[in-house]
Amino acid sequence: MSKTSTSQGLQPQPWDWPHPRVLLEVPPRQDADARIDALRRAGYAVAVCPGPAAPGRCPLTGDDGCAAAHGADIVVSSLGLKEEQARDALATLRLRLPHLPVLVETDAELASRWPDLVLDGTRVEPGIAAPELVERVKRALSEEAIAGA
Amino acid sequence: MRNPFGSEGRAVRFVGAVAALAAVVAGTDAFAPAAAVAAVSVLAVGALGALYVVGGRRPQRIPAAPAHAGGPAERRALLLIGRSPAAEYLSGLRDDVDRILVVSLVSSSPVHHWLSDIDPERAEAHKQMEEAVSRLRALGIDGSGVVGNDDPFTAVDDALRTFGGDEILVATQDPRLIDRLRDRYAIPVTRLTAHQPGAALTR
Repeated sequence: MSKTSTSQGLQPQPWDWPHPRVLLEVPPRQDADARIDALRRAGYAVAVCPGPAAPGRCPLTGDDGCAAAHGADIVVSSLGLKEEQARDALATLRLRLPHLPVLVETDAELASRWPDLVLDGTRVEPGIAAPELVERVKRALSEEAIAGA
Repeated sequence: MRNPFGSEGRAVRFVGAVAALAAVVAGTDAFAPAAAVAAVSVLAVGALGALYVVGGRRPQRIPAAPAHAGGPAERRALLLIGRSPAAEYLSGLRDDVDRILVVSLVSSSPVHHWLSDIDPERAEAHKQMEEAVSRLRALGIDGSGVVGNDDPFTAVDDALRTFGGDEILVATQDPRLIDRLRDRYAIPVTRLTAHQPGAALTR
């Protein structure tokens, strides 16, 4: 399931693990231990990105890109859509890696305001429990595999 | 041994720079007075030093961790130990850890590191590891051990690949190590405190 990395030389470089890879984007100070543990126990390697610290600071929006995103099999974004820099990062993710499955944790109202960022089937409700998140990740990867076959 | 440049490519570029600057110094020596040769040599050494510092920077990372290893409910931990006797730290271990791999870190001086003369330090690390494993088994914990790479992060990477790990327990007195481990690994990193049974685990 893991893609061949196209990220040699990109920064940051988080992936040392030969497992399916989940990039989990969570705001700083948000406790993601339960999600990380659930994803790891489901067989995924997990990297945790706190999102861009400031507008234009996300390496994904730079010329080279971000190895964490390029090497991921799926991205789970809990950064929401309220902050412009979070939307910019998500838009860049969609643009640079259009085939990468992305699950966005946001509520329905915000999702309706940004339909290009939250595509059909990629939204998860805020506060989703860890076991349910694992099921959503499995389902998204399964659908991606079917679509790519 | 740890590659201080982080990759072979950077090391090769550094060697190339050494050769180029040596050629410059030799060329200067052939056509310029001694003072100019000395000045060029100083500049060359400075340039190499700067190149080493820049080349030696490790790639930026965000915290990551491999998939869980072992049974679904099994909890594994890495126990990092240094020079301090690990037994002092083990009396208050939580009982929810099923298996522990002791990773004994090799503490070598910079001189020994550069000379690759770390056999005495590795022997000491092996002794500390054996004592820690014996202590764990005496406590009824399924423990095993390895002497790690002399770079602690490579040692942990190796251990996570081979053994797995749901938590990293740290029984060393290096205050910076905990923060650096938390910056790098997406699993809990817990400091063990010596001689405080019942309160031996602090976050």
